[in-house]
Amino acid sequence: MGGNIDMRKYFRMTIVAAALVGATALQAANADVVVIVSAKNTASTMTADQIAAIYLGKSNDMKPVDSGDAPVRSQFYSKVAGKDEAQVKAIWSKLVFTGKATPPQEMKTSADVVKAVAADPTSVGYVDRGAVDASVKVVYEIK
Amino acid sequence: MQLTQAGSAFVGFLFERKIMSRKLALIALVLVSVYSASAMAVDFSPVVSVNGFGTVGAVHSNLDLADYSNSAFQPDGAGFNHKWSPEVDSLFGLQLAGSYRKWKVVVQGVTKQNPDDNWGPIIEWANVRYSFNDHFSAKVGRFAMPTYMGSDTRLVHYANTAVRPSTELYRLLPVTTTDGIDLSYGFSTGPIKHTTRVVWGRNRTAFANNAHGRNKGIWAIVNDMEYGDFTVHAAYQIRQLHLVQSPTVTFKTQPFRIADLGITYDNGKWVILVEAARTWLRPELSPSSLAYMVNTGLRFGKFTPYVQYGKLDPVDDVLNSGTRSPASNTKTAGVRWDFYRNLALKAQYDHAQAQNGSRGGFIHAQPGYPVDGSADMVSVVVDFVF
Repeated sequence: MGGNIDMRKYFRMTIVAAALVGATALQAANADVVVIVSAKNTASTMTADQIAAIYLGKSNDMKPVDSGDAPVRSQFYSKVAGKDEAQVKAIWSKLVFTGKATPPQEMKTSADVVKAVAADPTSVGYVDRGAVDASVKVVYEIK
Repeated sequence: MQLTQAGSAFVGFLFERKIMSRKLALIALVLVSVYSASAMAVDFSPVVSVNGFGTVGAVHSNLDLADYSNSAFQPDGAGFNHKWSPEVDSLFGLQLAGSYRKWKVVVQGVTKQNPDDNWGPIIEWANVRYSFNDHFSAKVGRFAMPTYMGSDTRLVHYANTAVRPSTELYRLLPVTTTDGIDLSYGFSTGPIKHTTRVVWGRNRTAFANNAHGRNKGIWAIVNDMEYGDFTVHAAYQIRQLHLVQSPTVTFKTQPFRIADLGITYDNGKWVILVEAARTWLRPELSPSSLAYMVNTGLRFGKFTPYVQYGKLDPVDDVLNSGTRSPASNTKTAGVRWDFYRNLALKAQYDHAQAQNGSRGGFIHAQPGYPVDGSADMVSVVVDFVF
């Protein structure tokens, strides 16, 4: 009696939990990532090569800002630069520890990235599309 | 504010350990204060960053009557002195970099086993760089001597595939830093990016066993090229070498020249490094030598298995205190696992073979240790950066 009711509740909870996990997983896997610059910046679009060059320290045309949001970050680096985190870290180590460049500044969430990029017209960042507001504009969309 | 406290604490630490002179410490503190003061202003944006790197590891060698060591700076190694030595590869480095408009200051301190067998931190680099424009910059102070392809990141093992740079190659010139001036000019020819550098300086180095060297008139010209998945490093250097081997044995100052050519290829899957160097020396000190190495790695997700081969041969064969000019080769196989964010675990097997009737690179040879000996080494390390 008690057991049956518990089982139903338990079953319902499991379904809800699974749905939530599924929804989050789906969201993470398909994180809609866009590259943004400040609304004050005159640029309207950027190419993947330009963005990759900035984020791999090959160009210092703009200041790159990193996101602390793991799925957004890994989506960005694998799609735009074609590299995984360890490779990017190794590339930056070669630049940082030779004094050639400073690594991208890391912000915690997409909202923090938007704030940082909006405030500085020389910076570029990548965020989840949902975080974009009027203070920044999208210059590249990750497919 | 936290960065200001960290910065001041770091400067204080360096000053107290007598690593940083009072003058340098004051300059550093001023920079730290300038940063904190201008952090409140809106126009100024100096950036201070603290980064670090290190390796924790151990090497085991089956040598009984000699040691395997990493370089001429280590007083002992794995084998006769320690069956498992954590001192050959372990190290920790901290770097403080401040940039403000066209200026950049970098100070890098490293703690590792040094010739006196203690671990007191030393200032590996301390230099100031000024960028005149997008192409031309000048650096003054102490910096890494760009002898080899991996000279700048010789100690940042995380940035390299294998556990340690090829000993055959790096043994040719173990001195790694210079106090002087570095002028750098960057330009492009079509899709190729070039950076040409001219270096002038001098250097004092302490080696193991109380030997020390004074190098003056160091001149080098270096060209680094980047083209797609390739990078090329070509360098030519001359220095006046004055080596004091012991209180009674001093070598006459003589010119030492070294030419190096290195190529890397990395397409995300394959990561290959090929490098060769040739030295010119007067035979009384050491023979002229030719060394080369090849490292090939293949990435499978987070794993990168690799093989490496290094060879050293004398160009002139000389008899020196009973043994012939050092020649050796090392065959290496290992795997790198980037298991978590900024960490890499590496396990490596080396087979080192001394040749040409010499003791190769083995040190602390005990009575009875033969020439042309060989050794098997197993190394396990964890490299990190932050």
